[in-house]
Amino acid sequence: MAFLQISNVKISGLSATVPSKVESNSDLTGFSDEEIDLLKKTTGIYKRRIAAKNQSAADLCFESANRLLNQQGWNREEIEILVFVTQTPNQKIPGGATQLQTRLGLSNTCIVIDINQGCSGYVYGLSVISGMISSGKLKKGILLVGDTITKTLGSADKSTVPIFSDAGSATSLEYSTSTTPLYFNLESNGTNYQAISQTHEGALQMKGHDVFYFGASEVPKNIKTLLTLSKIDIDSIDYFVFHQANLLLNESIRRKLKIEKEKVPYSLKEFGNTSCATIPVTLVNNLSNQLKTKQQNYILSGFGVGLSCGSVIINIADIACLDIIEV
Amino acid sequence: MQQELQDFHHFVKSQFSAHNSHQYNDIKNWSSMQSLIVVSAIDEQYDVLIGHEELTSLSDLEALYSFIQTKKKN
Repeated sequence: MAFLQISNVKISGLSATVPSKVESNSDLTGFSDEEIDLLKKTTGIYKRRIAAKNQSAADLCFESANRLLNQQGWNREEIEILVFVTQTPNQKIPGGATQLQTRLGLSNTCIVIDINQGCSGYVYGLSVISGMISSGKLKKGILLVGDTITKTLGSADKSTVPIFSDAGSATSLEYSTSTTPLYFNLESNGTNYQAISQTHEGALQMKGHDVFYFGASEVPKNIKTLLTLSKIDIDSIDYFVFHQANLLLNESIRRKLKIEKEKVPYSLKEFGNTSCATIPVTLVNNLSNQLKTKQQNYILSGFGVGLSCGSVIINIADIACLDIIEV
Repeated sequence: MQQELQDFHHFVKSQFSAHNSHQYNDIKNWSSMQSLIVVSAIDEQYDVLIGHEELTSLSDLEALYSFIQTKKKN
């Protein structure tokens, strides 16, 4: 178990970007009408965003970061760490973080880190950047999390095409001594690493039943352990923002934790499963007003590829939160 | 036991649409999505989570019902 308590870090801003191209699950080919109805009911996904050929995860994250930094009026020279989480980089060598550093006009003394992580990537990335800022040596940082996962799908794969979608995000963070700690519980289990994996031919394949089993059995335990170790009452959590896997799995997790429906927002219907970007997309799309105006406790929980699972308890207050960006 | 098994049949059948309800007792012919719907419903109703290999090793609802009872006892 990796239980972490990280102090002196606050989220200052959040933005998310989706491609303007929309595909509807009503228009799927190779499915009967009954199958499409069942698919929508089970996954909760009606529409998906599809990146253009020349549009990458880095592009979507750049757009998010550039607009967020402009909105916040941050001096880019003051950003001392950039973490880029993606499974779909433009190229394997080098990773995309240094290119984003240059595109965003950050200084050469800025630490840049690439992380290859999927559905739990937002929480894992947050743990890495928070841990480094917590030392007090780095005052400002930016976490970029996104995927253009639809580029890895086989066009006829009924188990992935109706689910996956593309998005990027940016989260700005600052060193601050006036915040409550972040509590993380991070876990991985590689014994079934092929449950969601890329074939040698490059197509993403997913064993839906194995993913469901992992999520339904491990995520509730992960969150219960996090609450126990952090000594935080579940009733004091205002919102639980889960990775948007699919409605069937997410509702199973919600019921096992006995959480009211009102505390669990969904962006699945409109944006589908955007891989590592689902948590920031849901925060921006569903909770923008709360993030901008209220001080509230959130549990963010990502789970999937690896198989891995990571949850964090975080208090967020009065942050800059842009409306969803379309490009 | 017989009544409980009948109730279980009704329960599983209710997870199928009218269109494909004739398949409800034939586990090996369930689509992957239909399997997930039934597994999720069983998890909610009986608090028993069934893995893919466990499910595909079973042939019909009687075997599935026995499996659930055994797993509950353990």
